[in-house]
Amino acid sequence: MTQVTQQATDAALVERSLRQPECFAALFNRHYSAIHGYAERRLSRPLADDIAAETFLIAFDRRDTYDLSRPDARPWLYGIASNLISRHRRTEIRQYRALARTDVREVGEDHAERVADSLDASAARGRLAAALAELSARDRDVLLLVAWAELTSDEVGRALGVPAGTVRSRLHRARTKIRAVLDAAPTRKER
Amino acid sequence: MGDYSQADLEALRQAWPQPAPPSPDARTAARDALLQRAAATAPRRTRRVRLPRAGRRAVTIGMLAAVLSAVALVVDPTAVEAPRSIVPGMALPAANAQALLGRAAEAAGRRAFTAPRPDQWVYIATRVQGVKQAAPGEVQTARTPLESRVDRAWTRADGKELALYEDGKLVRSATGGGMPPVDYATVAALPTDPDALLAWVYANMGDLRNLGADGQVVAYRLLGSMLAQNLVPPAQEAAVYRAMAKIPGVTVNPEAVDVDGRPAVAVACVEDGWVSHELLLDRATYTYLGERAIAGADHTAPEPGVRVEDGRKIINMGPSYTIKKGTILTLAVRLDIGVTDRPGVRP
Repeated sequence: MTQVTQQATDAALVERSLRQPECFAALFNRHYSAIHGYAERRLSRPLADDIAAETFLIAFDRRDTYDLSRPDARPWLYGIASNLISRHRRTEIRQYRALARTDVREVGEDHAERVADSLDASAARGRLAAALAELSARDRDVLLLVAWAELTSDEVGRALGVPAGTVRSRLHRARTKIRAVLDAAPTRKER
Repeated sequence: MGDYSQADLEALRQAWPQPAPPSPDARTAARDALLQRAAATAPRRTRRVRLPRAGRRAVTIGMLAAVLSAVALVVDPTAVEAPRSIVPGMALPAANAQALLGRAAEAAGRRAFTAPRPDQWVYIATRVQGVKQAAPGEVQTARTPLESRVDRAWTRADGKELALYEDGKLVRSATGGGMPPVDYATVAALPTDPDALLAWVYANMGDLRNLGADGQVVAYRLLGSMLAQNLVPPAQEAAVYRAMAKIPGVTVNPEAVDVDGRPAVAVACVEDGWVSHELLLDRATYTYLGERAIAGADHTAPEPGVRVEDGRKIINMGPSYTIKKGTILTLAVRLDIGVTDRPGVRP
C-alpha cells in the first residue's frame, strides 16, 4: 500500500528526479506556462519559446544543487529565466522605447481620443514603457519579478541570489519611478 | 512613500496582460527536449531506490460511478440544459488522443494477468477527493479545500456479493447489477472488439442519457467508470481504450497532473462545455491511475426557475453558485487493486 500524495511539493519532485530523472517533467508541467508567460511579457513569444525551454534544461542539469528545504521551486526557476532574459537586454529596452513612442503618438493626435485613452490602462503603457526602459537592469529585474511573476521580496532575493534588504531597496527605487509617471498622468489629462 | 498601494504594480499588470498560453508546438518541443535529456541521464545515486511502480501494486479507484454520477447531479442541476460547445484551448486534437489510447491499448494487451477464481474477491482501494457541494451563492475555485476519503471495496468475482467498510464494520450486500458492471464475471464476458463494446455501452446506458450530457459523453464516462471499479482483463481493457478513441470529442489534455509524483497523461471528454472528465494514465507505462473531473471553464448555475431558450424549455433546479475554471470536482486515485480469498483483508 503506497501513500498517495496528490500534490507533491516541488522540492519532493526535484528530489525524486535525482533517482528518476523523468520525474522532472512534473515540474515542467507545473511551471512551464508561467515561465513562458513571464519571458513573453518581457521579450516576445518566439524568444519566450527558447527561454522557457532552456530554463528547464538548465534547471534539470542543476537539480542536484536545489535547496530541498524550499518547497516552492518558482524562485529558482524565475532566477534561471531572469538570467537568460538578461542576455536580451538591448532587445528588451528597444521594445519598451518603441512602445513608449507608439503609445505617446497615438494619444497626442486627438484631444477627445486622448482623454478617452487616458482612462484606459493601455494608455498608461507608453509612459510605463518609457520608465521601464530607463530603469537599471537590476532594478527592472526586481520590479518585474514582483509585478509580473508575483514573487515576494524574499522570493526575489532567492531568485536573484541577493539579500532581501537589497531587493527591497531596489524595489523601492523602481516603484518610485513608476509611480512618478503614473501620478503625472492625471495632470496631463487636465491640461 | 508610506502609502504602499499596489496601484503601480497593478498598472504594470494591466498594461502588459498575461499572454496567451504557450503554443502546443512550443510546449511539446520544450518537453521533448527535457525528456530526452532526462532519458540520457543516469540516476544520480548509485544506490537505486526505485519507487514501487504500478502493475503489481497498481493503483485504483473504488465506487467511482456513484461518485461521478453524484457530481453530475450536484454540479449540474440544469439537467435539461442543452450541451454547449467544447471548451477551446484545453486539449490537442483528437488524433493525438486516438494515438495515445492506441498505445494504452497495446500496453494493456501485453500486461501479465491472472484471472481470479469465481469465489475470490477483487479488492480496490481508491482515494477520492473533491470540492463539497456548492452552497447557494458560493464561488468555488482551484483553491477551495477538497474533501478527501478512501473507499475500499471487495467484490466477489462472480458478482454475487459486495463488501464495504461502514463505520468500521464490514458490511456485505448484493452487488445489485447496474451500469457499468462492477463484477469480474460480467466484465470478463464483454466484447473485446471496440465497436461491439461501444455498441453494448450505447445499448445499455438507459436513463443515464437523461443526466444532461449527450450520449457520447455518457458512453465515455461509463467506460471510464468501468475501469475505475473493476479488475479488467487485458483484452477488455484494451477494448475500452480503443472504444474511447472512437468517441468524438475525446482529446488529450497536455496539462498533465501528478499522481503521487508520477507524471500522468490525461485523456479528456468535456461535458456541457465546462466539466472536463479525465482518464489518468501513467505517462510511461499507461497503467491506469485514476480519474479526475475538473472545471475546464467558469460555470455559474442559473437561478432556479423555468426559461425558454431556442424553443426549448429549460428547468433550473437548485440554487445558483459559481465554479471557477480549475476547480477539482473529483480526483479519484487508485491506491491498490488485487485479489483476496475473503473480504475485509488486503491482498
